[in-house]
Amino acid sequence: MSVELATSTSVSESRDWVALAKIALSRSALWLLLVALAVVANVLSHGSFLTLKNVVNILAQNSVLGVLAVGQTLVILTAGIDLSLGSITALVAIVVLQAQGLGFGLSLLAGLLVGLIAGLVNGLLVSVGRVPPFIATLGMMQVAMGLAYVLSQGFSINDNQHVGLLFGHDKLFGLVPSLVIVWAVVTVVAWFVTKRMRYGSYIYAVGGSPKTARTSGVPVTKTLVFAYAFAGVCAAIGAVLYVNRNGNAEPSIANITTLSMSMAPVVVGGTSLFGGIGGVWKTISGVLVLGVLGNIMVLVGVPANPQQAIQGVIMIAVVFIFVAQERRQRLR
Amino acid sequence: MSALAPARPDARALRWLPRLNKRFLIDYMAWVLLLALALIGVATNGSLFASGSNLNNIVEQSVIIGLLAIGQFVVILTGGIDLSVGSAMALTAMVVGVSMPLGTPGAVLMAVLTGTLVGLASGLTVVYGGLPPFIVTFAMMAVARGLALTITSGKSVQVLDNSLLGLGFGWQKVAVWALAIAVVWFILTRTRTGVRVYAVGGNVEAARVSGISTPRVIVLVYVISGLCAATAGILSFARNGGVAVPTSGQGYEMETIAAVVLGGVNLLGGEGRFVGAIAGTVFVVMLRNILDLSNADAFWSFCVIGVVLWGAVMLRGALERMR
Amino acid sequence: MSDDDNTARAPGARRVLEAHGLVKRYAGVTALAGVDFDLHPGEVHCLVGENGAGKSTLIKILTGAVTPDAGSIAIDGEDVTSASIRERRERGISVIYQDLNLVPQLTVAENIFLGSEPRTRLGMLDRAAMRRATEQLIADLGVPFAASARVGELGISLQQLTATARALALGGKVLIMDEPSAVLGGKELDVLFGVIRRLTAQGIGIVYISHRLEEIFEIGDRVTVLRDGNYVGTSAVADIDQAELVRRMVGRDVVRYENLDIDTPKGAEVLRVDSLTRRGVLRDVSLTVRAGEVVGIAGLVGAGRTELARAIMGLDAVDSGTVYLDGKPRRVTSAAKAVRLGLALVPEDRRAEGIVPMLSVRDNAALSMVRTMSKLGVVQFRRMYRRVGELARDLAVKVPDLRDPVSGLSGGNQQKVVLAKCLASDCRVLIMDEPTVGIDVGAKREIYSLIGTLKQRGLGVVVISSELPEILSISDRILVMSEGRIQGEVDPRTTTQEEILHLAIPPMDALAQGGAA
Repeated sequence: MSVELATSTSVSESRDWVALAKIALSRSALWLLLVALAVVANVLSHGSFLTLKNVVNILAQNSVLGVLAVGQTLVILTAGIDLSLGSITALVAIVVLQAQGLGFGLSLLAGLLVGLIAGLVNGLLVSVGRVPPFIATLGMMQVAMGLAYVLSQGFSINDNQHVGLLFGHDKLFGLVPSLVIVWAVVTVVAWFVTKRMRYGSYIYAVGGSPKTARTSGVPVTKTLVFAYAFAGVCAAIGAVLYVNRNGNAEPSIANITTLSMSMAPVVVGGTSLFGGIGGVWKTISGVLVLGVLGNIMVLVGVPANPQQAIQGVIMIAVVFIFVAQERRQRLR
Repeated sequence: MSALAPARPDARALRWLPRLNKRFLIDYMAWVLLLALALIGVATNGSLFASGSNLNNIVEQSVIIGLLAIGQFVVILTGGIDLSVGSAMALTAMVVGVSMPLGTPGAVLMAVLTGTLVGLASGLTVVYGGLPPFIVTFAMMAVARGLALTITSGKSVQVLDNSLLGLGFGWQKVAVWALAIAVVWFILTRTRTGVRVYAVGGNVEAARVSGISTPRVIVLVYVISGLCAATAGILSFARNGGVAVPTSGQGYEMETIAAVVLGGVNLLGGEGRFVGAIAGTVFVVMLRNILDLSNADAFWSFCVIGVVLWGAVMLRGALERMR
Repeated sequence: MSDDDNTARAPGARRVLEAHGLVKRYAGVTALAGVDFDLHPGEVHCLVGENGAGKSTLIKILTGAVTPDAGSIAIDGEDVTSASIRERRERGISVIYQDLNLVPQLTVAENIFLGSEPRTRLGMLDRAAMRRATEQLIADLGVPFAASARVGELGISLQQLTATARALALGGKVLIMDEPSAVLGGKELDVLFGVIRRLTAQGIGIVYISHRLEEIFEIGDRVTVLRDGNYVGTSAVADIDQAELVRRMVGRDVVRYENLDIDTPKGAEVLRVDSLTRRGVLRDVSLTVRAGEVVGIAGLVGAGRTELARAIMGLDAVDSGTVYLDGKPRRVTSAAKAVRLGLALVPEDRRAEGIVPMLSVRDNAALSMVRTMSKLGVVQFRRMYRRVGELARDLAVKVPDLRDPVSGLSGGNQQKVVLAKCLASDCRVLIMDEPTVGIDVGAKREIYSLIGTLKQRGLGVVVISSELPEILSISDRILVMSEGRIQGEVDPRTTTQEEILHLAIPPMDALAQGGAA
């Protein structure tokens, strides 16, 4: 122990620019990868990738997943997992559409409420019911999807009264889509919650060491319920974005791979599946890297069906790399 | 705490009773619930439910879930989980369909190969990747489903006239299930591998210091699960009259987990009785059957299975914590 | 001291195990400094010493889990100093650790043959052979129990015997038993002693490690005493009495690390615990702590001290009893509530319960005050980190940057971070469970002087410690626990280590009566 202290002191005393550069590099590695991918995509697309229009389009395409992944980040930070976010998205999309007769405001409220309740149920099952997170949310995946089918009878429902999300507008200054704005707002809120608010501190502590958190007086149960409820609300917002973008929804959107695998960008971004390490910004870089990668797959001409398999493999590969890296760090 | 354990012999004798009861309750949870459910079935649907043909139906419908549940059971015994059973089944069904031109034995061989590969991939990643099984198999769920969709670009495969069809119906189908049960039961109770599966799930450290190769055991259980999925894939292909649907088997992972947890298996590994898993399977299938008979919205049964899963895990946990 | 062995029942001069001059250092700390140890066939050789005396290091060296820096080990006269664990096991050295390494879900027979299960000619598991061999082993032990019983359903005593049988199945000649009595009650211990006598009669040598001196006089042939890693001596049990043994174990004058001012004026009562009971763990525990007072709680491992701390903090539910804070009865249902009411705990297992390893030093120190430092749920980080900075300075936490992860700190500095966390919550009562475990001497002194400062500031402090010199030098009063209850109170100014040990060691007849509340 005393030896460890000695080394850590000497390292920090001799912190020169090489070490600083290394840290900066490792912190921004994913952003650099993103730039590299963008360049590759630009070459593959003969220069049509890095146009304002295309970049905005990619952001809009990934905003639903982006919002889900932000919610997922909070759950994974507690060392949990939420497999049900895709299904909650489907359920809320159906709820919002079925309630559209009540007017935009009320249907939106109903949708958010449903997402909140689903998240609360997940959180209570995990914390009070002591059900392992992946089992609790696997059940919710089924329940929410079932309810979505019950409410829609399996049919696709159209959004008959499209309302722009920015006070009735779909684009800010006729350029930035409302979806991207909402995603950005959700991200900033989640960042504020995790880094500036009490329950954010608790989330990191509970994920890092639930026992320490408990003995230190952290309300562990409330923290878990909060994280899952937050994720549920994010899924509900994702559903609203989905409806806004697609103009319709059917219950099977729960099976869209990117939505049901919202943990992929979180892990790619560098948030630890074992809790306590990571954050919302990292997730954004993960979403963008996977998004650009998906765009490249389209550019190269990979048909839609194998993409699901490829995304699964990518996820495992990335998780693998990150876990190996974490282990090395722990051994040091 | 244990230093203060009561030392009086009579106190220990008294402690025996609740312990016995707790064990008993966990082991026979599925049977009790099955009985209760059957009574509900009779009460709500009377002769419609209790008719020979309906009971026959229930048994036949149990076969596919039952096969997948066998694999799930063995994996959970080691403290793992296999979320890919449903999509692995769909994948093998597709493989059987497209490889039918090779002849029936060739197609079956391809199915077995597919199941083995899926299991190997999951098992090796769990062991050497050091990743949580639910993440590995959740990704495998997407991979297998994606491959199933890729093979035919999302279309179904039809080979209406083939010699496998006979397997999909009546006693043949049940016989396949029974055979699989017998084989896995034999492995679990009559070979050293079986003891080691329980040992790895019960106390990995003890297994390791006893010189057991724990990686080998863990990979093996995922391969067993893959083979069970392959068998289920062949049967589902046959039962659909020679049609393989790439989107089949969705939610089956949940039904199998619910079935084996109801059967008393411990999600942390190491304990669980095989017969319990069978009873759990029949419970899940019977529940769906009763909902069907009651003309409940077919979609409700989706939700019900999820709730059953929660209930089963919490009930078992509560019994476990009982003093 | 004395080296008068060979006198007792040692049959013949042949030695099955022989070790000379064993030395082991860990990062500059000497765990063993030249220890000799030998064992005759058919003998029970006891190994005693306080916590940290070097017993577990010696066991690890004997089994090959740890390589000594100097010294030699021989089995049956053959040098095995560099042999692996596996080779030594094949040569007949087996250990039964406190953590028995059994699979609770498997049967006795399956556990005994785990990893080397007999097979029939067809390659199937030969359950009949397993049962026969197990029954033979059980018969050798002389205690009837079923080979087909599930180990998890057996009492701890039979589990111990299962582990013993497994060691014998490997053909053990030397059986090392690591504190079997730590988990066994009186009757169960009698059973174990019966088994040990049968085994020695068969020529098996036993190394028996224990805290409880009475056992040594009941079962031991010879006894070796270790103290602070030093070899004190080996004697025939017949030639020594308990008082002498305690003297050898304790050995030194009381080291008063810090002359804490015991006469600090005591304030009002801040904590009162009234007949706290948790079935099978705590029995009728009552105590009071006043402001500016340090109450020490002494006792052996497993006496219920940690459980008492956890119960007061609301971490474990109690069956009955009341906790009063500042004279008011309080229902402390969770640790969160306890912290709100002004209690704080420095837990025993620092790595698992004291720190969040991947978080920074300052976030760890701030964990318990996040609540009070928030307005409308928003944490006032600037104010909070300023307070952390002050505390870190007060406690002299040595860390280049408070944003560094806490896991990189030394044990002593981590403990200071844990203390900072507790103090940051503005607690009135601080409970410290083994506050100096795994901490070097310098940091220990600092922690002692900190306790003195806290006392002067009017905190009530409860210190749980297994180190007698420590508890004697920092406490105003000492309560001694054993078997889940407080056996007595002693005055640190007048008491002796012997007096405390006698209160802490449950008498054998009480053990035999046993029974939980």
